[in-house]
Amino acid sequence: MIAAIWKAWANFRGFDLTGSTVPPMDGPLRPNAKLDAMPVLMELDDVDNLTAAHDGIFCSSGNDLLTFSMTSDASQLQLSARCPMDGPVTSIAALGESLAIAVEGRGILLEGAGTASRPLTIEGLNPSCVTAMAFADPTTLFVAVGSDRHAASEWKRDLMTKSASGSVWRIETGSGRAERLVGGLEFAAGLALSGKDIFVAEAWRHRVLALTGGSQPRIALAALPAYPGRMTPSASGGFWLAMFAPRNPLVEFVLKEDEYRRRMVDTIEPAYWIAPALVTGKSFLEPIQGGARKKLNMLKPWSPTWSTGLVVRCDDRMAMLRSYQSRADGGVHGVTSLCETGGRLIAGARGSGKIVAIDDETAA
Amino acid sequence: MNSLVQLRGVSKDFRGVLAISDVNLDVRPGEIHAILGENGAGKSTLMKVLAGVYQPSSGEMVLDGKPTVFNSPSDALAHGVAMVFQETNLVPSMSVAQNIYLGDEKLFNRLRGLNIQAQRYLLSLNFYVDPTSQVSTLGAGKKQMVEIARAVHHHARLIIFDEPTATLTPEEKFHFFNLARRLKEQGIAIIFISHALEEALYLSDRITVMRDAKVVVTDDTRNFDRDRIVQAMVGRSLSNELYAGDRRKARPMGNKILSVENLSMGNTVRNTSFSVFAGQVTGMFGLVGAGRTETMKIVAGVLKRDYFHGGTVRFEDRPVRYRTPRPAVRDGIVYVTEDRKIEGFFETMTIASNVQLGALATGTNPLTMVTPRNARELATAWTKRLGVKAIDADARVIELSGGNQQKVVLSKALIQKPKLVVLDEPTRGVDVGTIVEIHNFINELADSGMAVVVISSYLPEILALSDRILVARQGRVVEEMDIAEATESRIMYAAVH
Repeated sequence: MIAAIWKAWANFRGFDLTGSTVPPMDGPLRPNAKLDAMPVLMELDDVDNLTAAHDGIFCSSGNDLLTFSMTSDASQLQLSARCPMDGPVTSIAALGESLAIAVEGRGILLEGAGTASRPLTIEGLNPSCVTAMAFADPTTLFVAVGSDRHAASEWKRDLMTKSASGSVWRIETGSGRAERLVGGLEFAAGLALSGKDIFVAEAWRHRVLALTGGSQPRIALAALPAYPGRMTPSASGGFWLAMFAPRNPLVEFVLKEDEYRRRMVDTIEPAYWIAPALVTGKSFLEPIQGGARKKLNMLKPWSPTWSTGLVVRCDDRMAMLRSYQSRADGGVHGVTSLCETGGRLIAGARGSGKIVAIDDETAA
Repeated sequence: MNSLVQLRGVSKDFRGVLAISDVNLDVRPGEIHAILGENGAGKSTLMKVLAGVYQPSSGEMVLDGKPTVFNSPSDALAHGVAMVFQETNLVPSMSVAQNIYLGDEKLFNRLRGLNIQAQRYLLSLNFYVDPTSQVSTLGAGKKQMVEIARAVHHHARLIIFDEPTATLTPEEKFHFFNLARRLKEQGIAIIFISHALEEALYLSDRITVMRDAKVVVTDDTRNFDRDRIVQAMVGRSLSNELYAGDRRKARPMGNKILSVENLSMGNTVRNTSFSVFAGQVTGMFGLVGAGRTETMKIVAGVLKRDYFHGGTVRFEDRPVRYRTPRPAVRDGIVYVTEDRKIEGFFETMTIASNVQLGALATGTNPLTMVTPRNARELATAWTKRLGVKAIDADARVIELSGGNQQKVVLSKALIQKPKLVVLDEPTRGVDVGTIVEIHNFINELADSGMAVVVISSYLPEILALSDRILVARQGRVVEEMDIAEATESRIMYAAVH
């Protein structure tokens, strides 16, 4: 009864309760296969957290922290060092010789020039779900926490349980003083600094927020057709934004069906949930990746796109300019980390286990 | 083969504007003849001349070897030429049987006898339609069957179909094709106008392509392929003179202002999705029946989408469902109609009153007094800005030319200070000089940061104005192009395939 009254009210007021639609991929997100055409620098399972530092490129693969350097012809990456950590690495930030590494279950470890690594303990900050970090200066670190309730590796569970407990923190690394800038975010998955603005990707609300001083967050990008993740500033101005999985109507529908979702979360392995994925096709038990299969000119609702590769070039206000994509049938899915080095963007596709280089000047 | 009907040098002008020019066409008994062309190519006018709706300004029509003039559609029908219009000519409140025998009634009619007679007749044509059904309750396909039955009943030897398959479901289309073949076997000639090239290639014996009011080519269907048809449809010279110019650079995209997601409305708008960005002109091209107008009317609250599974419209990232245009206008969406005479203005009212009516829709307190002087000043400012050629703002709109009427409609819309303006066929029925003025004005709007959507059936106009082009087909946006990559052939290919 209440639902019927609510529906009637929604109709009267003009807002929509019935739709489980997603915004179209058009304009700057017009479908293309440019990401598939980019040169693959390395194949590495579970590659994540690509970060450019003064002495090479850091990245993680599961529990390992890896350091790479570029070959002389810049066509390949070569492994310089491998350092096992106590848990999965969830985020890395570097500035000059300062380095911050977030490890699931351990928290943030800080390293400086010639100093041993030390843990950074912050009260109220979930050490298992640090999704992104950025240094403003060698002693100021901004941290995005995806969720207070779940670990970073449980991101699907966070989406399906709608915890809305993400936050952004400003930490003085010297004194250990921490300030929570904003809370109640639906999975803060990425962070980028630009002058006075701090851009935060709020994945489950499909938007990018701009935090400026003490004022209310401003929406910089909204109604995205995919889940925004990590961001990195570009040397030529503006930003790069990685969207790690596409939205699809079936997931939107499941997110509205509370009872169904509860039972799915309770009874099914997360890998087989009706939920976005970094990559598909690993098991026949997964939902079918049809890339919007058509039959008799009808899009089949049971075969939407579950995973894709999507890297977006944005301007300095975070407005989208163009995109590099790997479609449902492509091979560079689940891009979760980005860094710029040598005038090129290096993108890590965690889903497909590939590191590709994007030369925006020539590709655009 | 002997011709059933021949048109020799037929022209038809409307107040000096040639709708068809020096057309020669022959139709043979028992053939299916497809007439193809862009919107405005003159196909419908040509067919209306054949069916007696219009009388030719010059040239002659020869029927069975004798020069003939049809004074009315009933005169044409008496000579065996019937036309089935896209909007059927049936009486919706009457039964199927009554519609079939309309005009043939006897002095005393027994309804039961009429129904039995109609039933037999419909079955003889393999039409499974209940003769007692009220026509208003029938679907598009069945209505068309009734219309055809009526034409055959009047012993039509030539039946002209205007876009017969536009409103049909795939199954109904299949039935229509079978029916057309059966009529052909009976020696009845069929002309059909269609935008679906594959249908023309599949069904017809001969194809005639029209462009810019003239017949470009008539040939056997086996000598055509899609590319040849598209080439014949778009390869114009006249338009190139009007719209020639260097290919300009597209304006950069602003924020996404409108997002249409899986929008549906009956059979006309089918699960369409697209976005519109501020600071750009987004051109929307499609053939008749592509659902462009209906889609944008839903966005602007002029039409309502399906309540269930009707999709989502987001304006400035906020889901909206307008039930009337007024809240849309208040939010900043304005739709400028393609049919200005019916929906665009009150023709007997003054320019000032019409412009003032536009201002009223913005949510002005109805109790606010607007003096005639204020209204006149407002209208004068806008007429000056748009260059409306009238004695003053007190001139009645009916006294203005088509181009100036269109400028008044634009003033009425733009006084509402929209963020998104949808211009549906903005230069239809407008003279060449005014077209340039309207185009310049549209460019100014986009340069000022407004999101502009231009719906046009005229490819050169789309190419001249748009920064980004959306192509609609069968109720859905099927292709998106940047202006840098768009060509007439590419757009047309997307619109018909």
